[in-house]
This record gives sequence, C-alpha cells and structure tokens, in this order.
Amino acid sequence: MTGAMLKAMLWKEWRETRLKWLAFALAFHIPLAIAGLFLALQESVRFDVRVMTDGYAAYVLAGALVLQSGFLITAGLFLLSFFAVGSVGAELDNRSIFFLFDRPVRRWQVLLFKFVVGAVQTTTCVGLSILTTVTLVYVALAAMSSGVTLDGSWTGFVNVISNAMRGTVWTMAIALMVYSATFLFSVLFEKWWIAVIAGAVSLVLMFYNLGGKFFEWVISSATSKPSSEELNLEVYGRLDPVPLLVMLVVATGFYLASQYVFERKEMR
Amino acid sequence: MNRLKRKSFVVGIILGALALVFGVVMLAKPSKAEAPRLEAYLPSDTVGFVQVSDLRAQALHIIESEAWRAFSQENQSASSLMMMALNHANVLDASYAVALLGTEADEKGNPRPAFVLVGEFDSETNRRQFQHLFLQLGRRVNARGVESNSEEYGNAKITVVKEAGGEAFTYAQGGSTFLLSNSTDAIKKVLDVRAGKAKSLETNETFLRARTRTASREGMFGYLDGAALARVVESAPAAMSEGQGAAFRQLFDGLGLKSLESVAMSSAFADGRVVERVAVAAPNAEGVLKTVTRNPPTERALLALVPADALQAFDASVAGGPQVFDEMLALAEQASANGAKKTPASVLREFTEKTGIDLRGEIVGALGAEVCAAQLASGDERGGVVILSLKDEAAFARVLDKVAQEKKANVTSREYKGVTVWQMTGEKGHGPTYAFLNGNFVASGDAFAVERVIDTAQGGASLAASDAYRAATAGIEGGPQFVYFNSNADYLARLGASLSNKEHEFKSQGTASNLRPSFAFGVARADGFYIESRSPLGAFQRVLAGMTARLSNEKAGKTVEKKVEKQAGAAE
Repeated sequence: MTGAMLKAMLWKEWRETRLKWLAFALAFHIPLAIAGLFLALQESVRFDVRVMTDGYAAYVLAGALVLQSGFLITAGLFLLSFFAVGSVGAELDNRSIFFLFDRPVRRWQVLLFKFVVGAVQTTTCVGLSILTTVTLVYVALAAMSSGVTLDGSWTGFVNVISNAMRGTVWTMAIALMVYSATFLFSVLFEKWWIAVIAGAVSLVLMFYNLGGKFFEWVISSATSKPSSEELNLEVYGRLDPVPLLVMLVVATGFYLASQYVFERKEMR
Repeated sequence: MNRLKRKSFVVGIILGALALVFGVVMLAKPSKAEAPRLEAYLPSDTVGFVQVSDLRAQALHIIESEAWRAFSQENQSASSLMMMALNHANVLDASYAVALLGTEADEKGNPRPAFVLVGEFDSETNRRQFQHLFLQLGRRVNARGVESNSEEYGNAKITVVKEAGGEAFTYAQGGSTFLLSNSTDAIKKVLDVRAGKAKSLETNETFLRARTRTASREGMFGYLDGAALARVVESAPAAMSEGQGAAFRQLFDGLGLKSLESVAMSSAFADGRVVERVAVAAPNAEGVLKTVTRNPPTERALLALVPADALQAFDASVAGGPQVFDEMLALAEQASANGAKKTPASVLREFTEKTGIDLRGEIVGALGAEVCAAQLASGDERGGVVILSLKDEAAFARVLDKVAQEKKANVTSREYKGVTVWQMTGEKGHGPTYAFLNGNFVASGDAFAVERVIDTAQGGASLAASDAYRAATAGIEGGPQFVYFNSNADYLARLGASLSNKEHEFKSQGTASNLRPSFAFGVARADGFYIESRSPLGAFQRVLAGMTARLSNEKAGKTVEKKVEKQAGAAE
C-alpha cells in the first residue's frame, strides 16, 4: 500500500465520519448543555453562580469532574456504542465498502483503518470532554461570579484539571474497550440496526450487572469524606497500570476477533 | 447560495431566530417585582411606610458591593452558602413594603397601630412558596388552638387567624400580591385601593413632593406623612386624652412635630456602596424642630484634634444647645403639669442642692459651639474620647471639682508634653482622664486616648487633614450641622458578627479591611433638614441579618420538630 493510498483512505474515513464525530463530540457535552440551559433560563441558578467565591469554585469544579465522569461511564458509553456500531455494518448495508475492495488494499488494512480512525475519534471525544467541561465551567465561573478571582481560584483549578487528566486516561481506556466490543458487533452484523440492538442489549446487560456499582463507586469515592465539605478526588489521584493494561488487552482481543470475523466474512 | 435555497435550511434559520427573540424578550421583560410601585396599593392617608424594591436586584447589588467582595474573601464558603440559602428560600423574587395605616382601638379601647406587610411577587407560584415555605402559614394556621376563617373580598381571599379567642393576624392573597396585617380593617383598606375603590398614596401631593426630595427610589424607600401622624395623635381615643396621653400630645406639639410635613428616606447602591438620604420637610417648622433646623453649622474645628487613624468620629454643632435645653425644659414642665409627682424644675433644683452644680448655667452655659466624640485605637486597645469646645473653661473646671467632691474622688495631675493631664479616680479605683487643650475639654476613660489628642494638637496627623476625610467630605454642599466619619477598619468583623447565627458562622474578629470610609452629614435647608450618608452596606446589612436570622431560626425549629417526631415515633 502506497503513501497516497494511505492518505486517500484516511481522507475517506475522515470525510465520511466527520459530521457524525462532531455530533458525537457535542453529545458528550450534554451535561454542560443542560447546565448552560439552566443558567440561561433560571434566574436563581444565575444568582447561585454569581455568589460563588474562590473556595466554592474549587468545589464546583470538582463536582463538574465527578458528574462528567459519571455521565461518561454510563450514558456516554451508550452514545459511544451507537457511534461505533455503524463503523462497518452501515457500509456493508449501503455497499459502499465494496468500493474499497476494488482498490489495491487488503481486507485487514481496510478494517484496521476503520478501527484506528474510529477509536481515535471516540477516545479523543471521551477524554477531551472531561477537560473541556471542567475548563468551560471554570471560565463561566470566573466570568460570572463576583467572588471568583483568577488569582484565588487558579490553584483549585489546577488541582481539579490535573485530576481530570488522570480521569481522562481512565475513561479513554474504558471507552476503547467498549468501542472495540461494539466494533466487533458492527463486523458481525451486516444490518447496522441489528448491530445497534445487539450493542445496546449488551451494554444494558453490562450495566445491569456492573453499571450501578460502577457509578456508585465513582460517586461514593468522591464523597467519602463525610466530615469534609469538599469532594474527594483520590479516585483520580493515581494511574494503576494493571487495570489499564487489562482493558487494553481486552480491547486488542476484540479488535483481533473483528479482524478474524472480517477476514472470513462472506460479503456480496 | 444553493444551500440557502434549501427550504429546511431557511425554516431552521427562521425558527432559530424566533427562539432567540423569544428568549431575549423573556429575559429582558421586567417582572412585577422588578417594577414595583407598592405605594399604589397603600391608602392616600397612610401614615408611613418602608419599601424594599426587588429584593433579588438588591441582593445582586450586595454581592457586587465593595464590602461583600472583601467579606467573601474572608469567609469563602460561608458567604456563598448564606446567599444561596436566601436564594432558595423564596424571598428574593418580590418587593416588600411595611406600612403604618393609622391606629385603631383594641378590645379595651386603647389605641393600637395597624400595620400591613405588602408583598408583590413576580409570580403566583413564588407568592405561594413564600407563604408556605418562608412564613410557614400552613403550619401556623393548622396549629393546635388556632382558629381561621376565610372570606372572599373583591378578587382576593382574606383569612383571619385567631389564637385563644383574640385576633392573631390576618392575611390576604390575590394573584401575585400577598398582604399580612394585625388588623382585618387595614387589609380591607389596602384591598379597596388595589381594586380602585379608594385613592392610593400615589395621589397624595405631600408624598409626591417627598419622593422627589430623596432623588432615588431604587433599593429602599421610606416615607412618613407629618399631617397623617398629627391626625393620628389628635384623633386618638379618649384613653389618650388624660394623663400620660395628654402629656404625649403636649410633647408632640412642643417638639414641633405638628409642623412636620414629611420625612422621606432612600437607600440605594451607587459605586459599590450604599448612599442613604433622609429629607425632613418642615417649611413652617415650630418648636424644638424649628430650633434644630435653625442651628448654625459646625465649624468642624475639633476634628483637627482627632488623630488621623481614628476608627470613628462624630462632630456636631451645639450652638443652639442652650435654647434647645430651655425649650425642652419648658416642654417637660408643661407635660409634668398633668399629674407628675416631680416637675423638671424641682428635679434640677434637687440636683443643684445635692451636687452644687447649676446644670443650665455651669455646664450647658459653659459649652461652646461644637462637640466631638471619637473612637481611637492604640495597638489592640480601643478607647473613646470626648472633646467639647468651651466658652468658659474656668466655670467648667469648677464643675469638675464639684463632681470630684461629690463622688469623693481622688484627683491627680501630671504633665504630658507641656499639658496638664488630670486623673479622677473614684472609690472603685477608676475614673476619667481629662485635660484642657486650646480652650477645649478632652476626656476619656483611657489615658492613651487623651494623650493621642494632645499629640495631634501638637503637630500630629489629624483626621481633618487626612486624605480619607477630605475625600469623604468632598461632596458636601453647604455647612453641615453634624458630620460622622467611620474608617471601617473593623467593618468586616462587625458584619461577620451581625450575620452569624445558628446556621452560618462568619469571622467576627481579626479581619481588618481596606474599605472606603463611611461618612454622613446633616445640613439645614430652607424647607427642613437633609441627611446623607455613604457606607458599605447601609441599612441593607440589617435587612440581610434579619432575613438570615429568620431562616436560621426556622431551620433550627424544623430540626427540633423532626427530632421530637423521631423520638415520639421511637417511643411508640
């Protein structure tokens, strides 16, 4: 495969998914949009924001981090699966993938491109949404609150954003794992909507067994200091390599399974 | 261009624009609470009222004020939480007025003032929430031993609440308006005005004139109708015509309050602090009121003796002091003729016989034209000092000797920078320190305060020459009769102390501030008297403290109730 071909395939993937990706990126800021709506329409909410001080700003930023993380590992994963499930199945359904098969590229290369572009798009969205949410909340507070000063709140912001960066790594790893699993469904089912149903059922089952505990774990970790008025961000405080590696291995496993299925798949 | 031609694109743009316009209109449209004219609900013969316009706007002014910003830095979370608690207590989305409509006779025939609280909310929902959540009306009305009866009156519903046979209170609601009173008749009068059946205060010429005198109607506004007040005093029931009632009437007349046209007060935010104005209109002033309004301005010469770092200082003209003394004495004589055991003249005679001091001749007569009081600091120590200008220093010194003899106090003297400082020590081991300085009398309970005044007189930096004082007095027009200066060095601590309650704890010491000083002055005008002040939060500090204390008590009450319920449940 030549460099020109590589470039052309990348361009094709980007061209086909950019609007979907933009919508996906916006959807990952739904909590921020809801907060923005409340802020715009509810006078009492605007009042609450205006009375905030430097000390309270750090508390709000920590709250934004915990809420966005909670959103990502619950509703966010559903959004992610809807994005991933159309990667291959939709192209099989509308037969546009056969255009690629006529080109001098191998099947596994086609799938690799789709996987890499999709994985980069989804994990970037998931990861960056935490950072953009916390940053935008901070900007709004600094702009609207009479008691929030850049000097006084900067340390609190740096503390929360550094925790958010570690949170970003965790959520990106989780997102990659879920993306890989849903990608496999996309390869398995030619009709994209069957893949969507299969992906949704799988996620529901996963959340039925684990989701509640997962969410509870994030929230309870954040509020585990009953005597303190501040949220506890210890859960974001370290990057444990073992679970991260396990998630990467699982994601790789799903990807290889996708390649295996795709290679042997009869497509007409 | 092709995209623009697409129908869906154009429809989308139009819908988006419509949504934007709707949002802007909704946000920009003032609610009822933001554009209040509560005098429109009050009868034209209202004696007086105080109104707070759009409490949310005032709360926002407080948040943006210089004082609150500094206070928030000292009390980071607590200040935010307190304001949020107020925000969610359903009290901010309204304008309020408390009015005195007059007096009425109670069951025993004694006069009783009839007050009405008028609340104009920005929606019916907020009015209902205020009634149930803030006033806890439901709980109060359904309490044991409480009886309530409701009736429709016009388009409003009046509920009379009685406790143990007597009328406790009456309230009425209609639309977004809420009325609360200690008198059903008062409520009906207000409802009649609201329904257009009776004239409102807005048609009262005296009120309209008073309103223009205070320049601002933002924030708080207060009004007192002199003629209505006089009518109330004159038309009081028979019980007031005898004894103490008659004495009160004579005092009222003698003070010249009968000639009072109106008093108007406004309190509003400007430049991050509060400007308060009081305009007393009495173009045909009589009695003591006339003497006070004709009092010459203060020369403010004594402020040159007050150190520049004084915490606060008050300076006033007492040039008309002897005349006020004589008039007040004559007034007291008249009042005492109605059955009092001792007349003021006999009390004065007794005082002179006992102490050897002639109050009128030796004290009031010896005073000059100006008095000054200041609070000074030396490290952590605080001390008050009084400075009196004297006409007759020798006579005043004789008075002090007589006081020392009467109190059997030991008087010692020492020299401080060439000035004799006297120390009067009583039987309990303490007493005032005083000195005569450039024809003025300086006295304090703390020796350091007298010494600091002497230091200032001998070239130390004085308040009168300080930049802070000069900046504060820059806007005064005409010669003031009094001036008041407060450095506000401990304002944040005082604010913290006044706002602390069961629910919220604020720093009340060790919080020095760099706020601009407070300043007030009073000046006589052709038609009366005018007072103006500039301070960090003015009367809003008391409003804030009152509301948070009320919320705190309410919450504490609920907690106790819950505990009792829990205990009762456990016992069962």
